[in-house]
Amino acid sequence: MSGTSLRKRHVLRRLGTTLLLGVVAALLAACSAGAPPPSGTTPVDESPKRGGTLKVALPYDLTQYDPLSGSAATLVQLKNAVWAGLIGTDQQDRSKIANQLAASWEFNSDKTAMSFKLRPNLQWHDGKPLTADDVVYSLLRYNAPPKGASTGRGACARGAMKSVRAVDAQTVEITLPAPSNSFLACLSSGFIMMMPKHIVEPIDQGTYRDLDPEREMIGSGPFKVKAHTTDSTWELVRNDSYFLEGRPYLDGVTEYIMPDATARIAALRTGQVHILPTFPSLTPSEADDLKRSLGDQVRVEEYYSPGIGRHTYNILRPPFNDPKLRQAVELAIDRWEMIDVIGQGKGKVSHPFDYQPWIMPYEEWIQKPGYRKDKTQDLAEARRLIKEGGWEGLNVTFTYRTVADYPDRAQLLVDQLTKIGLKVTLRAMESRAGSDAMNKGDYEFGTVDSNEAFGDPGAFTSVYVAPSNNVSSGWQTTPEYKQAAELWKQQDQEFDLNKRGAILRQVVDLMMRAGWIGWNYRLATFAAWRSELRGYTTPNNQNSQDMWDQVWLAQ
Amino acid sequence: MGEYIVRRLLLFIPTLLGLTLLIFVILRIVPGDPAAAILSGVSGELSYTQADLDALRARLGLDRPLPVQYVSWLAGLVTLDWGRSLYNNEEVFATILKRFLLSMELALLAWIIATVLGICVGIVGAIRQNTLADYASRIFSIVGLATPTFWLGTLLILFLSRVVNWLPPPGFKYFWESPTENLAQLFWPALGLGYFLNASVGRMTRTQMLEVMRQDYIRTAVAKGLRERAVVTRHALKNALLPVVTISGIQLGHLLAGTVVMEQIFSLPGMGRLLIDSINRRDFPMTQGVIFSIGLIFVTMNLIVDLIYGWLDPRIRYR
Repeated sequence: MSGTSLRKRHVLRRLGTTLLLGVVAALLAACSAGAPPPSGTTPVDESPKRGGTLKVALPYDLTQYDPLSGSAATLVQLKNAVWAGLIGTDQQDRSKIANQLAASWEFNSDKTAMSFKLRPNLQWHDGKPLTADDVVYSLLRYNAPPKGASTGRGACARGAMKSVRAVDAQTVEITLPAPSNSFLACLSSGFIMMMPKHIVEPIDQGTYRDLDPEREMIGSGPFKVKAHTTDSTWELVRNDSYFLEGRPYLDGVTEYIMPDATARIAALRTGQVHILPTFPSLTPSEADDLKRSLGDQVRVEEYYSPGIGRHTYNILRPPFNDPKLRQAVELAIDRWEMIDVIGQGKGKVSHPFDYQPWIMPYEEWIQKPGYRKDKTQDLAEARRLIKEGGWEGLNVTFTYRTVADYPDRAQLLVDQLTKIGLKVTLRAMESRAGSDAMNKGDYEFGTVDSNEAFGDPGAFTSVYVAPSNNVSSGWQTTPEYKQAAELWKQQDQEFDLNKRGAILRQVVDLMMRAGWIGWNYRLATFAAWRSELRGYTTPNNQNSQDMWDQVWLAQ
Repeated sequence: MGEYIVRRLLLFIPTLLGLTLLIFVILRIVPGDPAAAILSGVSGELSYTQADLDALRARLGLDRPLPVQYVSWLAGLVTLDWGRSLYNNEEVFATILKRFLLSMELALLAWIIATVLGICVGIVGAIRQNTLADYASRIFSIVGLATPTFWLGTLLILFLSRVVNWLPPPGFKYFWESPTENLAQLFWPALGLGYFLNASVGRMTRTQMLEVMRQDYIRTAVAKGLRERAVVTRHALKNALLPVVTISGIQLGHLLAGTVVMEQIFSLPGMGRLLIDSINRRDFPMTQGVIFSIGLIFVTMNLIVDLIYGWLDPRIRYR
């Protein structure tokens, strides 16, 4: 063997050894911070324990800190941990309204006014007393937002109050222009939070701006903001002057912003977080995998949040200005196939008032043409309509944003409409550009989804009957719109549930007759949390509050 | 050398001006009104009135004529007042600076990994040309290049969580806050990025080394009895590195803008994520600021590479 090749080997060996040592050293350093969490089953102990920090994964950070403007449904838990409402959702039974800052409340005889008695000795996080003046200022802010402020999901309170006044330091009186079924539910929404007047009044009086997250996020909720790193972490610590004695049980809550779903699931798996966000939800296979691999270390619950999957037709321009073509498409769309393919069989057909079975039970809804499982009759009728209208081979354009499951939905639509002789051109758009196109009426038909902001049909005011919404679809130009808008007002003032339900059924009938809208499907939501987190109940509503004041950590 | 530096620096100004104009115009052409985006919510599902839209546009200064908006942005750039986010009112310059430090650290780590790995692989390939070691090193590089970073990142996360039952600590700590936590958080995404980028460095090193090793002066060095290590490292490698420096420099620039996927997967609040989020939200001041910063980095990196070139090869600065 020559000396040169020996030397070559020597150089290579040295290089290889150095590289290997470097990699090993780096791996050791990289793995050294933080030890893996203990695994195993948590012993069952149902009495609440004090202490510990709850770690929560969030998919994205707040883009606006002021509760007035914030609209991200999934982040309501973060805000509700900091700010409390006058009333809110019962944390154990999410279908009930519970008192928060209010100790009690009552309607007047004709239900046009209500008075709220505040709890005694309420305090803001900065130690200043929370009085009726703060509540009045907050409510007026929702009623008539400062110029240049957006209203987010608290929009149900906008213009809803005739007057708000402080009767004394502990009592607030709200007068409504007319009796309203939905106003109380609106007030209980996680998006209507009480703000300290001494913080927000100076902001509102100048040119409106958002709050400073570390100095001005002063609330009265169970936790105070300790630190915030944008797009990374929220550190919240217990508010010792919280209005519920002995609560919260936790020392703090740390919320990590984790945009990647795989990373979030991995963090739950390794115990770095205790709970995953419910939106975006796990897929059925992800949920199954977690249950299978972690067993009783994790709890996974399936439920339905009231997201309404729907599509809208632009009835102001061809080809969907013809109601028969819209009817044919509605009959041809197979919602059940969409659930099977996209939701892996876990889902329900969208129903305008799914959370209010007293309006129309789900079983009744899924018997309707287009929405029923058996497509034989629907397809035959759709083909007949297409033939009659001379639309065989007609090319229609479906506009959708490249978010969530919209692309999958669009692909299935192509197949389904081909069956009745239509050709579908897909127009995929980036999210904001797609919203813009839909708002401006630059579409033939397309996808828009919506969510319930609180558990009452009134939550859908903006979706179905607001004069300012869905304008581009042409809904407001139909003769049915006027009637629907009138009936909508009536239902809000009708306190007999049966009569109210009957009115709302008429509204649905009118919308279907006008044919500007069609409903698709609603997929199952999966909530997943580690079993050491106790006292947690899944929200029945995407916007219902998670204040974290009722939960504790068993370990 | 001084004149060369001044000449290169003077080219900076028109390049940056062109860049600002391009950024400003492109953002205004892209459909999607920021005020409408704010009012319509995260999923575009909220309703608003025209009066709301007008009031918000006025508050955000979007109702001013475009040339006025451009000039005011340009003036702000010079005075380091880069404006505020249309969403959360955060100062653009301060936010970018914070995010830049993270991305810079990640990019540097990835760059070091890519360069060390690439040069080693390149040398091995060149010294052991057409042997098993050469083939193995080339396959190793090419696999890195062919693997998309989002897939590599996801695999890393899955490997760590499912096999090791460990993940980098969540949240983010700067080096001066907690060096071990910082390195634990950045090492894995840097490893993924570095592996992805090592191929071009490796292949370039190998090609250059092969060329240089055939030169007369290398033969002379071997003939006069120098040890092979000295021949390779002192004579061959130094001369083979010139194009590698160029590639590496440009890669560092690319890395600063290209860390977005790893930042997303490893939940790191860096500049790439800031850019994507602000584009999605149509947050004009933030988007303009981030793209301008990335452009500035690119131009600066090119300048530095040119200057290093001039230093390594004196012929260049006299052209």
